[in-house]
Amino acid sequence: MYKTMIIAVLMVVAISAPRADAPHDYPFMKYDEGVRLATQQNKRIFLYFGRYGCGFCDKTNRESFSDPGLKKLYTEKFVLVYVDAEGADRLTLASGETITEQQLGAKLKTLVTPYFIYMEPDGTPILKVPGFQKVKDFKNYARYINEEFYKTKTLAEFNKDTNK
Amino acid sequence: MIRLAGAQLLLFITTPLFAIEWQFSEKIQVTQEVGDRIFHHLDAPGRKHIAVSNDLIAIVWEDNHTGKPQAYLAYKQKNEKVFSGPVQLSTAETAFAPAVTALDNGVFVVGWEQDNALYYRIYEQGRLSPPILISKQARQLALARHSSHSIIATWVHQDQKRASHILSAMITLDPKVKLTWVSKPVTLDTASAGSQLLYPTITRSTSGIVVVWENRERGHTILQRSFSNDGRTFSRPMQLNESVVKSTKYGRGSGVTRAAACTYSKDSQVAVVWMDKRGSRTGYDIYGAISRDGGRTFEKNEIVQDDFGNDKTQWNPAIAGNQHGDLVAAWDDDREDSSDVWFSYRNEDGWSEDMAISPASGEKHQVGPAIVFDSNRNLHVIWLEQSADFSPTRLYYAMGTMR
Repeated sequence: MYKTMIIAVLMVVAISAPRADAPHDYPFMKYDEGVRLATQQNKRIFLYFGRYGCGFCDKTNRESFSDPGLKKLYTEKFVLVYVDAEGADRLTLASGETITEQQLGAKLKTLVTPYFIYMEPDGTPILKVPGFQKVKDFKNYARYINEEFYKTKTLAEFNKDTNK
Repeated sequence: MIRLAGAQLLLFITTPLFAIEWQFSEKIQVTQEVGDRIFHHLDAPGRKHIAVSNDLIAIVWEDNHTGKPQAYLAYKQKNEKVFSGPVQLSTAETAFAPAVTALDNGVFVVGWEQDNALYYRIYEQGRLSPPILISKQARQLALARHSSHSIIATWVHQDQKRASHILSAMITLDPKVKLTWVSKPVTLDTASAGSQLLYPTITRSTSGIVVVWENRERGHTILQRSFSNDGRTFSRPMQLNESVVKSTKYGRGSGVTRAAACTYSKDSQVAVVWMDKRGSRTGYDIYGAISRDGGRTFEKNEIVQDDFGNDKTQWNPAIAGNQHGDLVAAWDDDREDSSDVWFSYRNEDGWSEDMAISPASGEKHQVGPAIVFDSNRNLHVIWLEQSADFSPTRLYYAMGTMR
């Protein structure tokens, strides 16, 4: 009996342990699949670079991606792609180059995790955002991208105009 | 930190601290198969993409010049100025991550991934043996010389429940009958079902065999090591890196990845280097650990790069040593704005100031070094060059000598 209870407790601890993958209740997908879907649906891509065990990824998942409004916004407006910054899985870029997840991180100079990249449907980067972001930050970036302010303003200019 | 721009012939680099001079040859392009959509890669575990046997240099890489990624070999005599044309090793639709190790008398063993399996071939006097299967459901192959007629291999095996394990086996050659065979693989890890184990690397000392790999069981990546006297039984895995817990509330710990290992000195010391994120806000640094008993135990972790590189991320660590006691670690970082290949030489007092490899530095991006010493203490280096991070690549070689 005690043994069963201990095993059950350990299983709960194991399941709830922070591991800093993509948030499990979001439809994040692999890079290749995401670019394919984004091209088909002509939707922009939200790419989440995370690292296994990364504290700020875990914080972002728990404090920001837990927001229902943010979940609805990002699930509807973006194709969600997760890349493991130390991962060994291979992905194919629009150029035709096939590289590992870790090599993509090196090419994009991802100093830290989490690292968020908003991309055109073909994978061309629009905006790179490193580190923990609050819900209001993510909503602000989504507006900057989805209302296409990025075509005429820098993010700093957009923020300045928005805060007038 | 010392940097010399350009790829000039016979440049000298001096380390003031240890008064060692390094002279690098002009760079040589390894393969002429280049173009607008052609990309070369050096990304095998442990970065063992170059090997030397007698005066013959062998290089393996992957590129897509035929339209799909395939594994290739090129070779040249040390005093020659050009490499052979690329010899395709792989036989499937796609192939990745080739590795090479040298035996005696110009014989090499090359291995690679294709069709979710690992294969090897023997190269000798311009001829390649047919591909021979090492393991199915396997990837991330690393090789090391075991004796004049055998090599030791390690890889990641994925079982039917999708759990990964680290396996090792001996590949033995009988030169008289031109026969090779693979021993029954041994499982090194004690990981639970469903755990992720990645990127093993291997080296052999006079005492035995050392294997190092990444393990994610604890919710963040740690490096584990195991030692074997004979390649048949391995010690229980021990942690190699010193973990840093950055938060009691979030995450599990700092990251480590992509270890490389080698043996050096007559006493058969072992060195391992890897990318380590314990430094937090500046990305990965290069850390390492030294064993003075052939790989049974390791000393405390030590940082390899110098202070000038600390505010930049280091990538792609490689390491090479020889029986004379020389030990060099190489990697790439962009402390001089564009990525260059840097290296550090270790002597009794520790790692030297970082030095740029002159033909592998300059305005373009130079990344992904692989290195090896020959028996005359020459350091052979290969790397990738590109005009921007996502642009097509060229594969280059140079030789460094100490003075």
